[in-house]
Amino acid sequence: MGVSIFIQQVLNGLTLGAVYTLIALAFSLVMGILGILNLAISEIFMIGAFVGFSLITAGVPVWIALIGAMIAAALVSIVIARIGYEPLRNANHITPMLSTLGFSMILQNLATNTWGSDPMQLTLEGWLETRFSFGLVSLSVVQIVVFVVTVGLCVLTALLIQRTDIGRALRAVAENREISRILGVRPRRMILVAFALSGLLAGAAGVLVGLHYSVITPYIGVEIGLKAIAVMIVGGATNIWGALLAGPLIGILEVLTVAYGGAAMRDFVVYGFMIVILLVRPQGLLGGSSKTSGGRV
Amino acid sequence: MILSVRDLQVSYGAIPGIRKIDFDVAEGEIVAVIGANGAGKSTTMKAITGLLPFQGKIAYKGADLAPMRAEQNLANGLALVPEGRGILTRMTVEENLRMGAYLRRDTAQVETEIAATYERFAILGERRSGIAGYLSGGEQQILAIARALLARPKLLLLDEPSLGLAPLMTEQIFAFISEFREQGLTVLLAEQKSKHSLAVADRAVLFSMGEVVASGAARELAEGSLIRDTMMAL
Ligand SMILES: Nc1ncnc2c1ncn2[C@@H]1O[C@H](COP(=O)(O)OP(=O)(O)OP(=O)(O)O)[C@@H](O)[C@H]1O
Ligand SMILES: [Mg+2]
Repeated sequence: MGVSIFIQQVLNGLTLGAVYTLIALAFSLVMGILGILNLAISEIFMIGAFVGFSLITAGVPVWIALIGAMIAAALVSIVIARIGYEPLRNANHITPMLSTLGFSMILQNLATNTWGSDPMQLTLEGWLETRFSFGLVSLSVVQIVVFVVTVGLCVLTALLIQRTDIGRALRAVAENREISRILGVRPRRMILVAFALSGLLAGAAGVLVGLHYSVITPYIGVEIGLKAIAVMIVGGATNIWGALLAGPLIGILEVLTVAYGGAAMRDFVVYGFMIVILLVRPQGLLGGSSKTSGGRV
Repeated sequence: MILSVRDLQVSYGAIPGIRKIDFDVAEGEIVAVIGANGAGKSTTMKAITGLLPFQGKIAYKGADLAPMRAEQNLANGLALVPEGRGILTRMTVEENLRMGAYLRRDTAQVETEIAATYERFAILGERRSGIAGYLSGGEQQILAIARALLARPKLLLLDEPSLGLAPLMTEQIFAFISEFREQGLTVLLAEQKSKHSLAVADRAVLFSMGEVVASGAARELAEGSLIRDTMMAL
């Protein structure tokens, strides 16, 4: 009995952690190239959730809704890059960050005006509700979908960054903008690519969280976005692959805390863990020296 | 003339980088640009390759370079090996080489040339999967040159390739440079040290404080005392 509950909680934690991982990757992609935290990502994630929910409610199949939400989120992200970042790119780092914070307020406002501030409930298609039971442990189709989509997107992102021309160009811009230009890369275009990729991942995460909880509000971005930033820091802000380790870790930690310590302990434990990591290993779990980490992107 | 520079001026805000630079490079030549610290060698090379806005006129194959962006210049055959090598230190040797061919679309040919690069520069072959930042300075310089060659340049600009290298390595780099001439490549070579560069160059241009103070056949400049006097006067 005890073991089953524990396994059940770990599975739930992995699902939650998968979503954190996606959003943390979204933060890292922009952070790696520009050295700034795009604070609007939390709200891009929330917009993705609403677009996905609206599409599903309108009868669009889940897969198409997922892709639609990803594209919508990428477009929002590109707009933010153009209006909120580009004109400020020569300013001190704090300025574009404040500008993305401004955008996050605007997006939240937009969402409350469009969808209202009451929770939006989703009735899932029948097949998504199915649960598979293994003794006392059970796994829903939604959980499997969340997990498979996350792993798939992480693998695709990794392949793109490590194995393609675009990925190498992104890393070149992240390391040294002038050298990237010498090699024929157009840094401003790559910045848009990074924002777009980041939007795609955040948008997907939004739909997945929505499916997982089957209820969303315009405020989900704040809480989950902050957790994702914690994931990025714990994993190592200088190494985006750190999120793949830290996401599941924090997801499981959070779920186990709720199960055994009570919901009130949750944020205390998660952010406490982040602070402990910052104290004992400031570069994060996988962040090493700039040479060995293989770069931020 | 493959390249002609007339009345070139570049300023960094209020600081004058170069005041008045004129010179030409003919196809197939190696032209050395000699000058002390701050003479304006790097600034000139960056202006030519499109990394810095400039005043005056630069023509490459007869076309005005003023409106060109860096990647257009590279696509047209102007490749720069920057001062300090400009290696992407977090990437592997192979990834650096692939970045050299970033604008090329003839992928099969690029693969062949990367394989040929490993033959020609054995050290790069041995270290292909290693992080480029861990190569020695000389190895990094070879990587930087090999990477620029993968862009298939017509005019190669080398900014102080011997900077910080031991004599043996310097010899080797200059041996490569003289091979380029045999392949029909045109080279613009910036150096502080004139001995090696004048030995491989056809012609030389002497920079001082952002202006051209002398130019002529490399052999004549090497024999005269003008270079020594100019450098001493600073
Ligand atoms: N980024 C910059 N900002 C301000 N001034 C600059 C900058 N780069 C170069 N300069 C100035 O422009 C002038 C020419 O510098 P440049 O780097 O072109 O000289 P150089 O001949 O390449 O010297 P070195 O042999 O030391 O590399 C110098 O006075 C230098 O101080
Ligand atoms: Mg220089």
